[in-house]
Amino acid sequence: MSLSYTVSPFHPTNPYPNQVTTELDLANQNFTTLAQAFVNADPTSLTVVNSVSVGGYTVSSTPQPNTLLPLNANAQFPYSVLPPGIANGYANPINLTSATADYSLSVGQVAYISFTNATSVPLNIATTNGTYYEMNLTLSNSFNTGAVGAPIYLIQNNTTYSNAFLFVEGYFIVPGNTPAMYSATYSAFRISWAITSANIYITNFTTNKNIISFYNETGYNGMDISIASCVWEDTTTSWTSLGTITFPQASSGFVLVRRLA
Amino acid sequence: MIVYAYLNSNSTLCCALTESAIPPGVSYTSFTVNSPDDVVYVSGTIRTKTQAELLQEAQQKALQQLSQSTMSYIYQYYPDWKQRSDMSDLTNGEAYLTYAGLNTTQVRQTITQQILSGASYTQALSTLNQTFNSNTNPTIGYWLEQLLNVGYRQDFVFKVKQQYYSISQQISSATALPLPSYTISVPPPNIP
Repeated sequence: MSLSYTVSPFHPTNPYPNQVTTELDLANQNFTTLAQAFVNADPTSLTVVNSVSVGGYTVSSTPQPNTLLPLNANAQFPYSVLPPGIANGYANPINLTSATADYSLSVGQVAYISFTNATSVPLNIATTNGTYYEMNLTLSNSFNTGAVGAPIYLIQNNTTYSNAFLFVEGYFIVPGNTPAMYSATYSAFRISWAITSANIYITNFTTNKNIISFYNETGYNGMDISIASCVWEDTTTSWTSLGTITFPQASSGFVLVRRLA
Repeated sequence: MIVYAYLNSNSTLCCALTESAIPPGVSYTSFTVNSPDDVVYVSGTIRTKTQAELLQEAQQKALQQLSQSTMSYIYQYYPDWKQRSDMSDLTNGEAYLTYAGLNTTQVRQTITQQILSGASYTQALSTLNQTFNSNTNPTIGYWLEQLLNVGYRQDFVFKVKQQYYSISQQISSATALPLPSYTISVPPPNIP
């Protein structure tokens, strides 16, 4: 539509032929043009067309480039518009439960892996020299009795390395209220024991590969709380895949892995 | 499970859980085992553990676990603080009874005889008082009761240890896997 606008269309002191018709036409054209400034060319909408853009950016409820996005019903932006490092934090982890290849987490990203009646859970998380992670492991197995008392391992690179891991723990066990220390050599990172809830910090420098963990150990007539560390006594082998968690019995639960650096 | 065993550049035995985890160009051997720990490198050969090795390892683990379970069982019904309290009661009680003119060796004999004969706690306490406290001295009665309690609790520990010994013998003498299962079944001391 071609729009035009005439400033001061009426000239009552300067008569000319067909003046009334000409100037009323100009006035009508002005009204038409002014109406176009409103939504649906309807001044009764009370909404001016250009008022739905700010600084030239229009508004859209669907995220689009170079548009403004309103907050959702919870007065929040949806996760999909946040940068990956923020969006995939604990509130919205990346689900790697069905992953078939290693995924490389960015700093801040969290991976979630659930498992049911599993003795072996591949994490499918790639890692490199200089990275650092926090891992939370929690199980739904009965804590009370009947568990196989044996280590839970993180098998780095999905490969065991015979007797290359030094493990040390201090623990307090009940019944008995007994504090104790324990050390052993393993072929993979020992991250806990039997039935557990565990927090594990993973350091991956090729020259210093280790974990620090604290966890409970249950599954028998009692429990203990442990602080432990396990060091991979090898300063040359690259740790490229966080690996696979193995359990001494069929276990169910989930793992969260967050890359911190 | 299948594992893929090889030696790395440090001559460390490695067991990959998947073929894709094997470094390129490495010569490997695959084994079907229960755990990567069942593969060993001995005298220049990568092989699975023999049945005898697996049995010996399982026996060691089972004995460690039995020891832990036994200790936990004892502590569950006879906690550490109670054991220390009993030792104190034993010393103080026998000191008082000696002071009161009783023969503590005879008291011990009577307590042991009552427990070993299977007498109920009430019956044993009655016998003790009839034998050593005919005048119903309340302090003597108190210490006789404490010593009897200690006797029943120590008998509980003794019976658990007996059962531990019996089970450990069964585990050690096993000639094949699986090892015998067991339950520690000594009833806790029945003291009011």
